[in-house]
Amino acid sequence: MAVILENVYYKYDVEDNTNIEYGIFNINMNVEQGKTVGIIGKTGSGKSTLMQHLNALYLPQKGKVIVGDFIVDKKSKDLRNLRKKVGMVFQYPEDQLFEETIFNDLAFGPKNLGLSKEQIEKAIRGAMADLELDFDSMKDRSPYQLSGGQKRKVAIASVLAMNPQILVLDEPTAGLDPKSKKDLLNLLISIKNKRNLTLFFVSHNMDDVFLLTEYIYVMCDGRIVFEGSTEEVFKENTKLRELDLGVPFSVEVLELLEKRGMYKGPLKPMELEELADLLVGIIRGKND
Amino acid sequence: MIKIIDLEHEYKKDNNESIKTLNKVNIDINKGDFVSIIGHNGSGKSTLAKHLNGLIIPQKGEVIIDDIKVIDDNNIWEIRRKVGMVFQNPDNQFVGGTIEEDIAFGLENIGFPSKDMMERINYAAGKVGMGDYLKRPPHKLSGGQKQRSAIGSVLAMEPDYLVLDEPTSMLDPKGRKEVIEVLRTLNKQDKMTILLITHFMDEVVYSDKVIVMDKGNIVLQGTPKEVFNNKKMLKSINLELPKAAILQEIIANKGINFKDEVLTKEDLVEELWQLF
Repeated sequence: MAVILENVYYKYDVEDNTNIEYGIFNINMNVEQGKTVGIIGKTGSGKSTLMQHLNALYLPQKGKVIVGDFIVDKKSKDLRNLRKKVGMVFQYPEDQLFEETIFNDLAFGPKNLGLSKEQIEKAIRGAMADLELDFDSMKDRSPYQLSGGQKRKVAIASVLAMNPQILVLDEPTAGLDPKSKKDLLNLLISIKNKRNLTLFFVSHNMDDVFLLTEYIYVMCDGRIVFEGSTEEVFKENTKLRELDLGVPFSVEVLELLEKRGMYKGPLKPMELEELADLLVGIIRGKND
Repeated sequence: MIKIIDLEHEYKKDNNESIKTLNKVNIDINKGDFVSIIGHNGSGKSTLAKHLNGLIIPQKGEVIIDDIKVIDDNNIWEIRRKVGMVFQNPDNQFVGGTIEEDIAFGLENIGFPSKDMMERINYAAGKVGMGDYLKRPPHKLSGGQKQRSAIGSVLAMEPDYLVLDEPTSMLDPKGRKEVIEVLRTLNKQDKMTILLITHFMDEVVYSDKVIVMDKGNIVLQGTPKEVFNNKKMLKSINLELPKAAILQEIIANKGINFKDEVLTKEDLVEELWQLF
């Protein structure tokens, strides 16, 4: 499903002497079906408010949100069908696990959609398989007895069990250790491909954003301040720093090399293998 | 100093199966040290931390804080005066309506004289760079500011030791940097003893000592360089090296060797400069 936002505006009613406006203002986005887009911006820049417009948890005060055939504006009603299509994984989603067994936790959403017993089990099996959770050995266990990484997977599976077509991930790996983090990111990439989802990825980890996304919207004070392909956005390291955002590791290293006069090329993000090749090239090129 | 001697801990699951979360753990922490503990979720590092101020009483083995043994509820308040704790989630630790009230809360609890209170609040907030925000409510603070305030509230009690259990894992990169900088300054300038539990490798490179835990055991202990030198062991327990160290390995596989182990991007560029 494609997602289009047209001049979306939502202002919070805050009593405050500071005159600062909180909310999102005149947001325009055009995300094609199957794309993976990153939303970056410092804490308080409006990322979460924006994401909560995608499944109409917030209705825009002005403008409209178009998700597939659904058009949401300030007067929209009966949004259940839309909410089925847009799966939201908020930060620390495991805080929302509440049932006695993993099966019941995963069944909660599909049941509310009015699916039959067979359909529910099928959806749960599919979601658990996608997250590499074993259905037979885990379905009757309590979610509370799982490790942090496993709990997170169950929470994400409970969103996937609704068979969404759009998935919004807000810092999905926060608080996990490096191994669980890497595993989960890889899983999410394969789930996205397998289910042909449109993916929105909100994160502060620029290396993860670089790895996952093909297009990025950068937010500040409730506005999109610039956007572009992932490669283009990360070339703007000075701009990103001004916005209190980090830059990928490779860019930091290349900046240091540039300062020492050892490198003159573009400061672009890359994976460690590619960076290693470039560094080896610098040393060999000098000594040959 | 803090002495942990043959500390063991196990807990029983619902099905009566018991899990050993700490297995004969021995650690010495000297006054003024900056010690980091790294390990996976479930490696036992948080269980260990909770032993340090009596949130968990040793089942077996000993925890001794400056000659006081953590034994039972009778000496727990004395221990808690000595060992201040900061936890992961900044929102769960804020009890006051403003930073000032939050710091005052702890002080009132210990019967701190009210005529000296403002001075102490200013001192503690100043130490964490929050002196200008005393009247701010928590929802007007960034994650990093909240976590710094939490550290301030603990510092107001003038503890001898500061234990932080993953204080940065819920923060954005800017907040993480702020908190780590505050900790480094407290350690350097005020000689505060710090025990930092984390799974961010980049945060431990500045410690005096790094302790690596896996499945309730201490598997490595030493200076950051000594620890990260042990690449095989770290890999076998699935701990990721700092990015600069990974890069060093890839480059070594391509036939270029550095003189020394690198842990930070600055180290890395220095080594490259030597070869350039």
